Amino acid sequence: MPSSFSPATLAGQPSSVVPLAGADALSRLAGRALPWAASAWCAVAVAGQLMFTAYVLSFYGRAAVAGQPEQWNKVLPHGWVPGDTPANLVTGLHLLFTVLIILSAVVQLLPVVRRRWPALHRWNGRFYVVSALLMASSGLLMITTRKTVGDWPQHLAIGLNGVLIIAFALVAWRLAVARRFEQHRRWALRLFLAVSGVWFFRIGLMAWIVLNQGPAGFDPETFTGPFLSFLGFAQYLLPLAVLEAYFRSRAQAGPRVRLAMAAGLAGLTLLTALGIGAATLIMWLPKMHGG
Amino acid sequence: MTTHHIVAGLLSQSELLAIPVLLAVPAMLYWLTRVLRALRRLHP
Repeated sequence: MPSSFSPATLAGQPSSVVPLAGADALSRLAGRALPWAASAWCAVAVAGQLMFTAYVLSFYGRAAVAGQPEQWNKVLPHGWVPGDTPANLVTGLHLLFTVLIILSAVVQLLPVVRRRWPALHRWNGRFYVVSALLMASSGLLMITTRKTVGDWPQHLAIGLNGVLIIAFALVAWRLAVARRFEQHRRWALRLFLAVSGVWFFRIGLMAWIVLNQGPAGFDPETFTGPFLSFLGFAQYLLPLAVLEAYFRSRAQAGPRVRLAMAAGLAGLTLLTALGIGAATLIMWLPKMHGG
Repeated sequence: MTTHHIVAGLLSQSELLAIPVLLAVPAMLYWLTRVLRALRRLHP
């Protein structure tokens, strides 16, 4: 597990901080378990996002390079419409920036980059914020101008995700400019989770299908149903809620609460790994192999 | 009856569609308030 993803350092504190008052075994354990649990989740999530990047490059990128962008429609209905150049360009840019923004996030998450190469962190941060604004805007355009899968609750959910991405990006950027780095880091992490919403949707759906041994709570033909409506909102609201719980438990809670938070994060790490594994095997690898 | 059937049965009620939307409203209001507060602190 790479210590470079230490959330304590992500949030601006040295990872070696251990409660001083009443430094008993429980406090020490809690002081170590929470950053480690968060690091484990970060490492698994980064691996999963890189896998998603490889899929986008392999499937969408290969089709574009081969001059067969109509292949996109196998996965993304109406992703490519012959003759509709402006909208096709928006879709293509959205896909390109999907790859770039994930790679940019990986660089931003590495504490070593902030420590040793702050200029790289700043320029990459500007790129990340601009990419997030482009992704959210192009996503909103795609929802409103093209017939996309799902029903209105899902479209509303993804639209609100776009609104949150734009809002979080502006706050994170303004805080960095104002040199309020502790608050900036918190909003940057919120932005990262909001941007990762569509990724959470995929791994969440695949974990759900595996756990239920098949589609449950939605119609796989029409891709509508209560579970998908729930997941549409949960894809970003749930990770954001967990992040808030993490911030609060790390800053204020006693050792028992921090241990409970660490245990919860460990469980979520296993669930994330399950979702990534299922998405890789069911969705991504078959398409990467030309399926 | 598998877990799949039980969950599918429970979630087949179309009324349930409203629940995530209703839950999302306070969550969105919370986040937008936080954003506005953060921006206001930057420009008092």
